[in-house]
Amino acid sequence: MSAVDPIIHRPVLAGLRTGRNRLYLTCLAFAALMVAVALAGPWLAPADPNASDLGAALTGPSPAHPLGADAAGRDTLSRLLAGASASLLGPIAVVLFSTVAGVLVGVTAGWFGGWPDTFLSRAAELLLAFPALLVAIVFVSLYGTGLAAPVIALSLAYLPYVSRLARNLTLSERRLPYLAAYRVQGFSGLAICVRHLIPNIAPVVLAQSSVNFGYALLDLSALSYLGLGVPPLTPTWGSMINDGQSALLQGHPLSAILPCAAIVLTVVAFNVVAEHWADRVSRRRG
Amino acid sequence: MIARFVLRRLLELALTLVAASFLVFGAVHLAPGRPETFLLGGRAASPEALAAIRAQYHLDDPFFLQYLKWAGGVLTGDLGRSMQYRSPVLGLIEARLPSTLLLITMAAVLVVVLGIGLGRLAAVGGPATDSAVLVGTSVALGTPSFVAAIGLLWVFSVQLGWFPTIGSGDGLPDMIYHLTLPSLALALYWTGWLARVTRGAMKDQLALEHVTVARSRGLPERLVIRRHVLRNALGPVATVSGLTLSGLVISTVLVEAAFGIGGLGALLESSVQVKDFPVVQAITLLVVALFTVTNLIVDLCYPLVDPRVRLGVRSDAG
Amino acid sequence: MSVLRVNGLRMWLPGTARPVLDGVELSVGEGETVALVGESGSGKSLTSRAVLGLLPDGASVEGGVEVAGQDVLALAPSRLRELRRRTVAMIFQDPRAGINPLRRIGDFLVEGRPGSQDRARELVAAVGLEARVLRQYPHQLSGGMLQRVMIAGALMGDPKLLLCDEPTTALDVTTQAEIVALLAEVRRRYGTGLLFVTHDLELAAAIADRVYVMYAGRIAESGPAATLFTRPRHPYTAALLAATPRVETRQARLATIPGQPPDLRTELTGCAFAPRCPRATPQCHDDPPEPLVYGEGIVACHHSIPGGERA
Repeated sequence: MSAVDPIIHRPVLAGLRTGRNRLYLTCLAFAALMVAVALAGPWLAPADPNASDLGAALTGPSPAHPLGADAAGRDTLSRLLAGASASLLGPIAVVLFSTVAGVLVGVTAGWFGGWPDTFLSRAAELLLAFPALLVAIVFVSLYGTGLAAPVIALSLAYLPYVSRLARNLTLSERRLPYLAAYRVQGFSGLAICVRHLIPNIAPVVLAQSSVNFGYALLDLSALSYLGLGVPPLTPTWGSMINDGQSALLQGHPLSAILPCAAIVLTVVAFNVVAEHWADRVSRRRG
Repeated sequence: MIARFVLRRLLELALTLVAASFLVFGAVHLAPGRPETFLLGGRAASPEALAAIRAQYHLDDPFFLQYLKWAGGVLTGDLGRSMQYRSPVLGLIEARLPSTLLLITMAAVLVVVLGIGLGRLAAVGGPATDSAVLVGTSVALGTPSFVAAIGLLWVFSVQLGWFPTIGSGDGLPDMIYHLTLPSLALALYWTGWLARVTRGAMKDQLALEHVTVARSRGLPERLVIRRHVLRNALGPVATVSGLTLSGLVISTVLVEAAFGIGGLGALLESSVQVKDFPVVQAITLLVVALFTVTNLIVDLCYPLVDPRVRLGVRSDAG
Repeated sequence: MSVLRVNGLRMWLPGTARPVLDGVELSVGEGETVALVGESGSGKSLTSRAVLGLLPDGASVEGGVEVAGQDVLALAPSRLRELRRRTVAMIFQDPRAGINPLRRIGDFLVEGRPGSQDRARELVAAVGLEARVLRQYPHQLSGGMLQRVMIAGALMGDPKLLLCDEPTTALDVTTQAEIVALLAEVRRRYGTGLLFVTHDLELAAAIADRVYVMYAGRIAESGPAATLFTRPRHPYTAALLAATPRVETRQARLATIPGQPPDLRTELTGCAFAPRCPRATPQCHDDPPEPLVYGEGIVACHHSIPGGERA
């Protein structure tokens, strides 16, 4: 049986892989495009995203406003492009911070074991009891508007997921003989961790972190939909939906539906890419 | 043995809640600015009035004493006084609970029924069905509840006019009618999520030898799927119920905002906007308690789902 | 009259260059014990599973598998289920993985067979277990006890043919002997035909009336257990026997068979064993050998060992 299994499953998986590859590549291209737009958004916008052209308020697509204008007469295309910045750069920052901090905490816990491990793992468990969106809402209410508070809050909320993974990987990596060999040769723990252990666990951790991007985008756009954590005059997709909702209820859906589509497409594209990476990493590790 | 285990888990639960409440209270305490300025809402006040307010909210006590007073109050059912409404927090929460509770219940039923159903369909329905469910759940997992709300409002309220756009209604049938779209919006993301969890757990089971053995013994496929695949997949599905429930609860903030429902989520949102900290503290603690208590219940009931897991015995049974 | 007759069974899996089973011929008579011996990957498990109609995903088959006169590969699903319930049963390699861990042993035995509680109690006693195991869960029993449960479960439908796929490999040595003894007892008591799939030559010699030796999806040699092991005709059988560690003749060094079994991604032109065979000639690399009858045995080899001797 055991000898037969790989023969049985390989071709099926191969078929699946090629079938999904096209989807993966499409999503990768879309995600890359979105990141480019996020970086260049403010310069791409054909008009000032806050300039109000009241004559065009709630009009549909026209040469002046390719995707129409919202209730305040602001150009929807320009706001979408400008909104990409705040909508995407925030999640990227969250992924960055939570990964760095999570690896730090997780590797420390796993490497030292004993009470540091107990303390850090318990603390992480405690954090897991707080839904990320709740932490973000509380932080914004406490520490005010701006992207910093929600980004820090979400980094903190996602930290346990990364640190738990990093800790378990460290524990299993520590059992491998090659690490013991380095120790015998007199390398310091820090040197081993930085030069061997962290590079070895990095692919798995990064795959998990890339999955977190989608969550962060959802949570941050939820905050901006509620009008929390966004500096005034900075359009984000979430705040655009909030602005456009009453127009939608009166029968002018474009200014609310378009940012909705932007969120869904972006998150789905990033999720497909992240899942593909996680899949590939887990397959490579056996 | 079992009593001791339950006792230990209850103690752990209490410690978690104490630690969580400490975190919540500490975070609020560390917030920049003085609470009384929020209370006054920017109005000028005489020093006497300020002192009176500080005394009313115990703001002059040392931090730890403030925490103890607050925590003691929480234990006796006193969640503090709302600064915004100048009334007890507990009363505010109680008044908003029915609609939110109904909303969450309706969404939870949808999530469980549709999530497990779709997951099962994906796992055993063949490659085409599997792909269809995967695509569907991918979209669901990219659609936050407020986006779903906008979509549902546009189609069913604005275009078709079947459902109201705002409010939570009076009386149970009317409430259910009003909360239909909100509960769908709330359920969409978590349905996709639970379908993925169910599908994964069932696929794991399908790859196991005991399923092959069951088939080799001439059991009807229907029975194999129900008794050996779905049944065995319920354990992993049950372990995520705490996460699902607290996720549903916190998402009510968005759905209630989108549909103009005056529930718990809306209370949290408005309290955050005006920095009404006692309310924020109370609701935060409530959500954390809900998560930990649900997890405790799942843990205590797990031996019913999986006989390999005995209470008090750590096991790697999967 | 045979309970099992496999005629020219060929099986292809997607992504392989040659059939994983290539013209397998074998039969099991009523109440007979037959061993199917081979290295892992030789196709012996695929063959035994095909007898139950359990085919891997994407497999295509050719040839016939007849169990008690019914063609397994052509049966409608409901007829196939009925066959599995009543006529042919299988015991798997790892009993710990074979029983749903969340269900009681009693449930396992009677499921799909309403009203069979008495039969379950009777069989549990017959395989040497106490009645209380019926109310226990798999994790509460040892591997050997679970294999007894599997055997009891296989006997529930009073099958004519019992397929044993390496039933002792996952057990410790003392338990192995008990299970083998139990299977011999089952055969004696119920007159069940046994197809015993194993990589263990000694075990095959001990339990079987007849033996089939399989290599790379083909039957290399078959014959009565006694003559096949004392006078192997196929060089592969001889090499296998030489590579089996023995207690009685203490060898200085274990003989091994040089090389690897052929990869499934390469096509075979001649004899599958030719690259590893000491007797191979250019003919062996070009022409697949036809099976030839020698007395009671059959051997597929251009240069079979005359009269049979230990290599």
